[in-house]
Amino acid sequence: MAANATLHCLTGCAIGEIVGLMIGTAMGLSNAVTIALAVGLAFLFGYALSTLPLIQAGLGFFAALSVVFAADTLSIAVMETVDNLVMALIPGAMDAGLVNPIFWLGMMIALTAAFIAAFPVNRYLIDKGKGHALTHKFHDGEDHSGHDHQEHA
Amino acid sequence: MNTNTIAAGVIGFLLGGLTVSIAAELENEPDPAPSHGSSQHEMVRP
Repeated sequence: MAANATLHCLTGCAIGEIVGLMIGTAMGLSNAVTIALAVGLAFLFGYALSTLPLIQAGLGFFAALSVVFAADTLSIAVMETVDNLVMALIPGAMDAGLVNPIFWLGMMIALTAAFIAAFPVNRYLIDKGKGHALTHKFHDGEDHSGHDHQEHA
Repeated sequence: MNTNTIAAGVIGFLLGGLTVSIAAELENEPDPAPSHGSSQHEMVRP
């Protein structure tokens, strides 16, 4: 379940991160502005990807958003920190244009590192009945608040 | 839409970007001399 939760978070993060870095690189924005844009969009897409299924499950918009804020914020924050740090550390990755393979290779390496970093965080949160365990009970359509989440780890 | 489907789409997009960028890089590389030296014909004078 931790791997699934991490993949779920990473998908939203990756979409925002890729779009942010593509816009920043294509428009020739500074590294700081590009990273800020990528982080902002990663949170936006990350939250959106988690909120939509909850709304479809019948939860109200703000109720779904508050569950997702509690469940995803730490995971997305860890992913974004590691992702942007790795991207900044790879020589030339931030300055590489979109037609430069270094940009795409750097992105793959950074997102893989983000997954590896966020996996133990999600595992810990699920063990504690937090993180994606909070959204899981809504996907099931029933409340498992007394449920022991150890079995998912 | 299933998260796995979206994740597969993201991976595909990254691989596509990498492929296109490598192709663009190769196209921009200066063309080396033909391997058999056909551009350097030796003039044989009688």
